[in-house]
Amino acid sequence: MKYLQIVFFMFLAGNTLAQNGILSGKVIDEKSAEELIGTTIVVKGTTTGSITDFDGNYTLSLEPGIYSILCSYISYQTQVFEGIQIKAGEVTELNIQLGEVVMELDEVKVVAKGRQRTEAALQALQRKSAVVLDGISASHMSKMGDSDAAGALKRVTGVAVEGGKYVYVRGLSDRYSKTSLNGADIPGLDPNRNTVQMDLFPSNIIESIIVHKTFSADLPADFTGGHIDIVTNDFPAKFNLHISAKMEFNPQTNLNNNFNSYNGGKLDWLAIDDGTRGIPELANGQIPPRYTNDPLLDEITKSFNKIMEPESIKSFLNQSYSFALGDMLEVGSKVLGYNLAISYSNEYDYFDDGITGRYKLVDPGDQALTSQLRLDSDIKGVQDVLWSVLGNVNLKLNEFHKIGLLALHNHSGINTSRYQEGEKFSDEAGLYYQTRTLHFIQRGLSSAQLHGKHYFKSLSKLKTDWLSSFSYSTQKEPDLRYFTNSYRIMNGNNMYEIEPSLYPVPTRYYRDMKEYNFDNKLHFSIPFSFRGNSSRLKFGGSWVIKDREFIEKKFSFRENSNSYTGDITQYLDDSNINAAQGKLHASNSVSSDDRNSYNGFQSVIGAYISGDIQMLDKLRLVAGMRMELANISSESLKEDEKKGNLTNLDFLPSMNLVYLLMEKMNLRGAYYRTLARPTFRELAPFASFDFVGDYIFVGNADLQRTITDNMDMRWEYFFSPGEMISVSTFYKKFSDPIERTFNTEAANPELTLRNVDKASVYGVETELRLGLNFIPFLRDFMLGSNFTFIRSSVSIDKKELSLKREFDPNFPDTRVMFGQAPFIINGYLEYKNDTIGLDLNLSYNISGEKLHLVNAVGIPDVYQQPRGQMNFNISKSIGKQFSVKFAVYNILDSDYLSTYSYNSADYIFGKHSLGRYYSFAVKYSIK
Amino acid sequence: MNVDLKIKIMKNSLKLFLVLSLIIASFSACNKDEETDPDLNATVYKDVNGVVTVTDKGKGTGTMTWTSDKIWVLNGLVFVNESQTLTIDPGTIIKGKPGQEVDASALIVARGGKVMANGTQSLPIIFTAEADQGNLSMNDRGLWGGVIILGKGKLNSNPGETAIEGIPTSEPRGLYGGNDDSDNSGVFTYVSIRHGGTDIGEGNEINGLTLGGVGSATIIDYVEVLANKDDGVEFFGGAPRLKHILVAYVGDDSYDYDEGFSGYGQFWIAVQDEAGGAGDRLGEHDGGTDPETAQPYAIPNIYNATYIGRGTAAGKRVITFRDNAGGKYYNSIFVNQAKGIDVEILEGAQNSYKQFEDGNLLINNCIFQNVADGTAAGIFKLSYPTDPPPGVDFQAKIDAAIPVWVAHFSNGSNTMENLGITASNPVPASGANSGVTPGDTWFTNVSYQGAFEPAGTNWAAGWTLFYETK
Repeated sequence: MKYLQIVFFMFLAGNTLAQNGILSGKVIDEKSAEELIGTTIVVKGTTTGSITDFDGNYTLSLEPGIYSILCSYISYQTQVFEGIQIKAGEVTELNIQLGEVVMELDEVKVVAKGRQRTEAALQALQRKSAVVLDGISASHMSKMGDSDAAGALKRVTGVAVEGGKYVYVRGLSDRYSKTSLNGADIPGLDPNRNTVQMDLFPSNIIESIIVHKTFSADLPADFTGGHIDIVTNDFPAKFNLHISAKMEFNPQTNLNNNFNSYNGGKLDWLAIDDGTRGIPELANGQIPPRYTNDPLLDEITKSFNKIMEPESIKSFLNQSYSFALGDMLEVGSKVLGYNLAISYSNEYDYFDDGITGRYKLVDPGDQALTSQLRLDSDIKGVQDVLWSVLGNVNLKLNEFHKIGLLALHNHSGINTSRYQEGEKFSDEAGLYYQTRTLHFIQRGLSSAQLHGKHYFKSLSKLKTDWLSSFSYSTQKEPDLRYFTNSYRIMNGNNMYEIEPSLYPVPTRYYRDMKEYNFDNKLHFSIPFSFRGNSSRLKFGGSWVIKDREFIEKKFSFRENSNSYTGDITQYLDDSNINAAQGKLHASNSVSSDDRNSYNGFQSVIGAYISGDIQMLDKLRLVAGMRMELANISSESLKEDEKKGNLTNLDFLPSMNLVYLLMEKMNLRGAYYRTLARPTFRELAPFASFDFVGDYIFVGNADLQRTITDNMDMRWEYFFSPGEMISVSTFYKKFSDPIERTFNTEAANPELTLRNVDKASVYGVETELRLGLNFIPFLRDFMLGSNFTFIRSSVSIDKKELSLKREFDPNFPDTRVMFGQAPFIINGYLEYKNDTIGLDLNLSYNISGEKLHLVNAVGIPDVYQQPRGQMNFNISKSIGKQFSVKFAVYNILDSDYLSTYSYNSADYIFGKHSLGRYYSFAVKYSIK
Repeated sequence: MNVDLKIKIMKNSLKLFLVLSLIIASFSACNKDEETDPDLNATVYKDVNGVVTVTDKGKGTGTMTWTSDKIWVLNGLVFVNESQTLTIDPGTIIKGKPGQEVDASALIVARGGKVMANGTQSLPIIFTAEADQGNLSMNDRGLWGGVIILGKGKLNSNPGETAIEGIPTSEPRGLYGGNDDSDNSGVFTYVSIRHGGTDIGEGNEINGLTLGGVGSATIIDYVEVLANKDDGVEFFGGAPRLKHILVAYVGDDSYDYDEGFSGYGQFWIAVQDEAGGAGDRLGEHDGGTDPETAQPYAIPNIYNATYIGRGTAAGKRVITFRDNAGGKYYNSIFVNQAKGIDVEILEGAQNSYKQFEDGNLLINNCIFQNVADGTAAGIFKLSYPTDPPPGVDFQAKIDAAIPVWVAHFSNGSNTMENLGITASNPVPASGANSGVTPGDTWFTNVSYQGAFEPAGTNWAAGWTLFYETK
């Protein structure tokens, strides 16, 4: 009830402020895009005005009406904007670019064409930036119907998002990407991945997402494809409040009586395990081995949860809700901005058409592959709950000093139930195999950031910004359950068995990961004049520390002879538990658990210096050098296991050139050196697998970091606000890249990672954003598209190659890079009519086939096949404060398909489809 | 900031300092004599009242003798390293500590190492579980690991050198295989291996006796494997020659070969646990791995085997030949099993059926007692994947092959007879004819089928636990 009162109060607050309108925007230098601090913005002929702060931002509260706005700054040309309309309760955005005075001129008159969109502002940043940038803004995200950062990023040039979570820039895998929040490192929650899950960030907390595709010395050096910076809201122009609710229906998934799930815990809807999945208290430490005849063993066995198979339940609709508010208050002479965003979503995914296949080439001369495992029945239900709370407070002490504090907590819970069944021919013709996986992953990320920006006019106009960020993240996988059995058909009856010599006995894993991340950054920038042109010297440093603890505990359930009759409930029943009689009993090995558990520590100290120099009137150079001293260690808790330990001091030069070919047309060139470091998990001897019967993946303590030399060229033309065309080419040369390979000596199929000799990637990227207003009846249409074509080549691991060459002496010594798509295409068509508040959007994206699995001798590698995705949404504002939106996602419903290809036939490795999603959302906003 | 983190940061700074000091120290200490440190990796033999616990920290057992006046307890994996010889006196008892996965205990004779285990009929050498006080039943399986002998024999797997199942590839002493099929890993006679087969990790269990790339000069005669959780004897390539082997009551296959085994066998018995419901195939015979058709092909010669199954209700097989395995069984007896001999046929040219066509896979002069439905077509079957490759007419090939394979039953002079053989008395009262004469002098030239002379004595009695209790 209290909750409602607060919300109600805020409504009122919003309405009382709604008499005036607000003019706000940013003033930047026309050439360098540097924010201009202390620019005067006044209503022409009055004294009503404001001064830009050190971000170049200004806000002006005005009564409704039409104004002429005058913008002036010493040594710059004064500009006048006529016909600026201020409406009650609305924000009019006016972003201004000032040019330096070449000779004394009268003021330049510009007639502003109504409100500029943030998209155009972002484009101005893109245009003026000295490095190659691409980005997407908050307004664009809401237009495209993106609910989180992952959805939005799909629309950026050369960006692909895998599984709705992980980002590939220019087709390079997430190993070569990096994500930061307001410039601060945040930990990746998935120990198998190098980057942050993008779906953790709901769009209502995001101001913009900037993708840095070239490196400059002030950025951390551990990216090659792209550095994605998520920028949160800072100072809202005025009070704003958003409440939205979305319901989504997928005929294959929602309201389905056969949804695959299990009784996990009462708080699953909050992404929190309520303890149901905890390790039974009795089972801590080494449990007594069976031969000891310790009666405690039966007690322990009985204390485990009895659920080890999925059941059918009814799923509800997908739901998501968000609430956000923000305001800017004047406290004395100081300005305080705050934002609060809360979001919650609870979504289901389901398929029952899955196929899993494993094949091999029996003889190099064979015409076809031979089936090893074919699971024709593959049913999977996933419930994904995600919630986040983010709050920030920013204080402008005066125009030149600002500090801010941000706190956030993201929480997600993914509950997966999977059932697979089919023939396992590799063991025996007529042997059927049934495997069940129950998996719950609970992830939490808490982060606090303190940051500040200062401008010291007296100290040679020194600008400094700093941040100190502390994050704590957890990943818990309590009670990951695998139950596998087989059966043979004899005289029409299924003869069930659990055969430990063919596959692991029923097993439960408990995994727990904690990671601390401490990031400190300090940047300085001093302007100076180079041949009369304004230039900047930048320098600074950073220290990032990561500390991870990963613990795995495993319990297996064994018996002396087979008592399994096909009924799991009966099998796990207390009456079947009796160690002394050789019946079912739990067992574990603390030493094995120790081997799989590890601690990781990483410290990276960085320092840089760079100059941003206007060399000639039309030529700008940013050149810098960054030094990084990194120390990474990853050690298993089992003492005699090999430890991963890397210490590297690297010097990383970078050079970016921008040449202004003509007004709004740039030619850019860049060279830079970056690196990629192995993750803790990759260095640890930890072994994991997806489902019983599949490949085991183990780390490698000998991994070294990869160095990459990069070259980029880009031509770009911003022919009108919001419209642009660009063509880029890039070339990347990797030394010692880390690639997936199989372990040639292992008795069972085992995948691992090794540094190989070298790799290279090159490609072309084009982008077009075009308004179709030149066609009369398509006045409000906008077309956007981008294409990226990439070629990659990586050396094959020496051991693997020598093996392959024994059978095929002509086997090439290179192949495409793991996970590298040969092309990425994004396109969208948009209709937007502000007068009637209607917005339609159709988007399509696809990326080419990617290497998914490297196979042993003669068996073709597995590729993930292209999967076109089309989304449509229509939104309409109703009155000033309401809007509704209807969307269809995954219109084509293409299969998720990965295949082996041999002798021009395709063999399915994995296949499923997720169905179409129809969603309806209502949004209430005050702004 | 948590305390651990602080400590770590401090540790790191300290490390940097230490590295610097070490560099300085190394400059100043160039001329210093090296001190002889006590060897921290040496194997620990801890003797408490005659029970010696052996813990290998990398240096192996050393060249030494394990005597029968003590009980030797294997604590984890204990290796006989390259160029070491472990002699085990007759009558010696060796026990394995319990524990699975990383904690598994086993004796591993590494490539280039030798074991001299010369038991006698009256004083056999016994490998068993630490828990064995004479009170264990034949259902007590998987209480410790097993015995693994590794050699320099040829493998058809790639790269001709493999890590033995369950031992991580980072342990070089777990590697086997080479080019010397006549390699000698020592002597292993009158040995009983009991209650082993613990899970060594992710679906791998240790066999009773594992022979990885073992050469023909190794003497293996009179060995019992009893109540092992996994296979009885498993061969990985190589060319070892084994006589007088009893595999009883194991949890998985009795005799299993992979990776191009091309040795000899004579007088092999397998007895499955019908009452306890344990045991898979009596013989699981694989050719190659990646690719399955790699050379050398697996074509061992086995004479005078007696395999006794679990009865027709259990649904198990006598022998599966697959993955391009060949192999020749002569003068043998197969008893009491639901299914007979399965030979794999695949779409590709080279497979186990092709081995049969080429004369490398034979069942000759053998007797089937109560196997399958008692017909040639019921006993001799072909197996093939039911997921046919796209665009290939595989069915025609199968249809053509079935009658040829079934006809081999009589062409190979095989018969169906009731010899009255049971698990407790595997010696037939009468019957058996002389059959095929072995070509190699290693074989004993006998005039009967099966592992025992009709109405003769049971050579497995007197030194095995299985026939002591029967």
